[in-house]
Amino acid sequence: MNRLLIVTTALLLCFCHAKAQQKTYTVSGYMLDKQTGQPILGGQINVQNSTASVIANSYGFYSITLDSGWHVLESQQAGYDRDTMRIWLGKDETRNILLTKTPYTIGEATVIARRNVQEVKSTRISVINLKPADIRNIPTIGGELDIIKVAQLLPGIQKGAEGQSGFQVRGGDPDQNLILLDEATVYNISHLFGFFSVFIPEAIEDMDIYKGGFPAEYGGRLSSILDIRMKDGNRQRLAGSGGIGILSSRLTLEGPIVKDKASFILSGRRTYIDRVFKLAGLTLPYYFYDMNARLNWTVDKKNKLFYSFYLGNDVLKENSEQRTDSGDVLQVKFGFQLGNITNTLRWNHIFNPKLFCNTSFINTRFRYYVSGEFGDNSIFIGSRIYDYGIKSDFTWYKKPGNTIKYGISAINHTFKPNVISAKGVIEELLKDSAGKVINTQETGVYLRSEKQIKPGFKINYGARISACFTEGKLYAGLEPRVAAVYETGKYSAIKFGYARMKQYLHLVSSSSVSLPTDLWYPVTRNIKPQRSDQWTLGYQHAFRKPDFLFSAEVYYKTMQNTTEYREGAVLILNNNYENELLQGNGRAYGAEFLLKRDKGKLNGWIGYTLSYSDRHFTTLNGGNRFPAKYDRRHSFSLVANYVLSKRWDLGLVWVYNSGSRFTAQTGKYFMPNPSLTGVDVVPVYSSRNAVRMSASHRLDLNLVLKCRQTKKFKTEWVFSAYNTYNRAEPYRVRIVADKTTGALKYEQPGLFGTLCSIAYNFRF
Amino acid sequence: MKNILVAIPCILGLFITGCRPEPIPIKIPQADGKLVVSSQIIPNTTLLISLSRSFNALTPTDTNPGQNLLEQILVAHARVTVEHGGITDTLLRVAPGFYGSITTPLMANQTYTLHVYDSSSGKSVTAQTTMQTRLTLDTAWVERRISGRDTQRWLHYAFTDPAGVNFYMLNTYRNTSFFTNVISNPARVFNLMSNADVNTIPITDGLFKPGRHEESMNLGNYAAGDTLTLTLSHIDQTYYTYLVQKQRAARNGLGAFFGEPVNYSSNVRGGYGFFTAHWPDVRTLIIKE
Repeated sequence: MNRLLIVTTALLLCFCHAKAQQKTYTVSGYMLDKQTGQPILGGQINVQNSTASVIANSYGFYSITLDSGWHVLESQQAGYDRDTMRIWLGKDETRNILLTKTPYTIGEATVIARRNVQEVKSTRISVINLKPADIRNIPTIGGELDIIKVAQLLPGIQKGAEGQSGFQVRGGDPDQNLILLDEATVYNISHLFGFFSVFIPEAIEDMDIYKGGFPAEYGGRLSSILDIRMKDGNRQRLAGSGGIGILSSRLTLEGPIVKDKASFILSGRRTYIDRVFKLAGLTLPYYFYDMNARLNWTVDKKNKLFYSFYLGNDVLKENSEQRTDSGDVLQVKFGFQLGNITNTLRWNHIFNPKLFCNTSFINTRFRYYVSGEFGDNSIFIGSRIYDYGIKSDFTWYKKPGNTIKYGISAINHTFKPNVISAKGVIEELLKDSAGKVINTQETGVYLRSEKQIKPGFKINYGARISACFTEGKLYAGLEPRVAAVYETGKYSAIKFGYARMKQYLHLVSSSSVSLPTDLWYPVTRNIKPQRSDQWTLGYQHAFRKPDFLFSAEVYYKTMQNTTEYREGAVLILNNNYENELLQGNGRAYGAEFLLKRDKGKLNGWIGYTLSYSDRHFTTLNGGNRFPAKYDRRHSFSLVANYVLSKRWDLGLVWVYNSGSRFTAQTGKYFMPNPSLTGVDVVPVYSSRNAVRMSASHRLDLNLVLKCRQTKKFKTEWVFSAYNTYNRAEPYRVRIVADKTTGALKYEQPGLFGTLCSIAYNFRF
Repeated sequence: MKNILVAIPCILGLFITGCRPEPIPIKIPQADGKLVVSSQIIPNTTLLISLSRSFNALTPTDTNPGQNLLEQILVAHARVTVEHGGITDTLLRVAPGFYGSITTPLMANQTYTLHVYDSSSGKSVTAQTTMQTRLTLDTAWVERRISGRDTQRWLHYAFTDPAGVNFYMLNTYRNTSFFTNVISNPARVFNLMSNADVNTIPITDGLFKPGRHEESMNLGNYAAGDTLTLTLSHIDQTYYTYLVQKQRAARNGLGAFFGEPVNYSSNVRGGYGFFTAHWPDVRTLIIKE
């Protein structure tokens, strides 16, 4: 017995010693698409017979530290076959994981179900990821996928009025959404006054939409971050895709420059509305175009370089001649241009298997101008923003279950709002203005850590310190961020998020109408930064069969220093906007529900939002709290894709929104004018935003016919119908005379009724 | 391929024309009718008050108010009194909707309180104003400027700005004898189609020093032979604010579409409009060649 005890003790000691001596090593690398060589973002790597796992970052990089010895790594991502890799760790290893793309299978349903479980167990809250490849059958105007329009079908994201480019997130204002394309800010996200987004779907890899629980690396806007990433480009072979539509056509080419080393992607799109109208003998001298390009170069195992470029413009140009009463010929020219250019140069560097760094140099230019020439008279009104910035983000995979992210960013904004140049008689009415040039320097540093407190309870905490220097004044502030997940079961969890956000620029837009040319105005000595505090509580449940993900969230958000125009503000040809601005507070709260299925014969989602949003300005509405313009109480969306057969797919969207609010004219009176030569008709308005427009709802349909599906060439026809049952989506209220009685009445017109379109898409 | 070339323009035509959806009717609760006050001083003679009622936003007003509408909105039977220095004067009805007093002394720095009771609706309003000091124009003259083929006429005028914060209203009239209109038939003020060439400019002395102050303005399309009448009044801040609101609304050329809605300020408690007392100093000039 004693001998047995001695032997057991000796073995135990040996084991403990061995355990103490056991070293850990790191395996790291990129998760890549086997066919194209492009990085797979957000893929999951699990270690068999262990709780250790890691998610590939937004560049496809992963790193996991394990004990020495044999391990089996299981890698998975929706849309790809699962892959297992057996590896001996006796030193730090660099291994790229190559996954093969597969069509939807029962096997993939399992992967998606696992991805849903992974989503449930993560600390991510109020985040939705959209991949163009997953949502390409959702009906949109012109039969062309529009990721921004699709995003507006998600709970908590509400579109503005029909024909307006902005959208609102959780009761915020349209300027509180930051849209990043490969880290560069895109100021104008739409064409044709909001009907098309500027993003070419074939050039986009995916988009994360953050509505709350913002990670510390993001800042600069109160209500949402749309982080859009472009594709890398096929590293194996030349490939292409595109479409010919009624209003526009687009083409994307991608391929290797040096196989497995460098690749490119180039996308272009242009409308031909102008040409088509011309063919019909009509004049509409308007078109828009977009161009995306990206170059990728793997310098060596530790370094990668990326260059992204975007250029887009809306152009309206008309030249004509008019004969005056005296017989002279007068040259009349009208021009309008609105667009962005963005450039991003990124450098990925792996310092060691545990430390990954991305450094980006960013440049954005946004500008618009309106010009007119009438003989000797001319006018030019323009506005410009130039951004130059640099940011570095570090990811330190400290140990399994503990990842630390930190970074720094600095951006110089140059604003030239409202440049006015007038010549001729018009000069007397409108003085030249070089535009007040305002320079602001915005900086931020952040640190965040994700830690598993105990099994089933994870916390992601950190902070961002942001600052903005303008006109000799420094605004700075601490932005704490916390997100936590507590698993209530194998497939369900309760989540919590808190985020403070600061915003150092404002979009100055009328409460009556929102235009792409609305003015971006930075903080100044008098205009203070906006700030929000948002609390979110959520519940998520991943269903195994079928593979649905259910999510319910409630939120409460307070906002300080939001902007509005003063009553009676002059918005046209005003070169002193600052005097017209008022700052006040706001709050928003509500609940959101989402049931979604990413893949399968029937996929899509059902979303519902209940929301409240109001504002309080001491000098507006008599100092009383008033509803926000887009205080839409209920929003419901049903988005469904159904695979009818091998050749036919059906897409359907039904969307319902409570009406937005407005200030209605509810009376009038005659008031002798100060010169006593007549009377003014003085309108009497309701209290601010007191009246709600009618609710809007519409059904959009999409039918896809897959024509030719060879291995090398795939084509399809897309037939779509927007607003199928032709119901007006109210965008304003007007007073008109009744056609039969002649009596005046209020009515709400809609911009577009049923719009049918057809598009031909191809891939090779 | 040929089929596609035919199909695309056809469908394009469908897209372009589309279906226009029927506008959706909406009922909007209307504001309660209120009394509307306006006042005017005819120098050295009369304090004149006009009284009307506000009305439904769906009442047509794009043409002259017809007799029916005027009968409905002008307050024909009201008790109108003005209180000043412990004395109460009852104003006499001079026309439907117009009440005047020729006995009320009009003195600078005197506070006047207006009480109106409309017996037909049972509504009453009150308002208070303080008469500003009388101001006279030191000088006013028109200069002709020739620039290329253009001939412009500029009005130059000067007045003495008293110490303190002051507000003024300048009116210019081209070929209009407005006082004659008001005195002979006050109801003519309710003329929407008035095509009088007039201009009202609110002025604040916030940007200039007390003492003699000179201003200039381009008269625009005035021609030789035109009569220019200008009046300058010393007004209070609340009326100045109202004039600025009006001026800003007028600058919003596209009005309701682009402008921000505004409920005009008023010093009438329980109603709309303005009770103000100010002396206009009047000059008339003939534009020379």
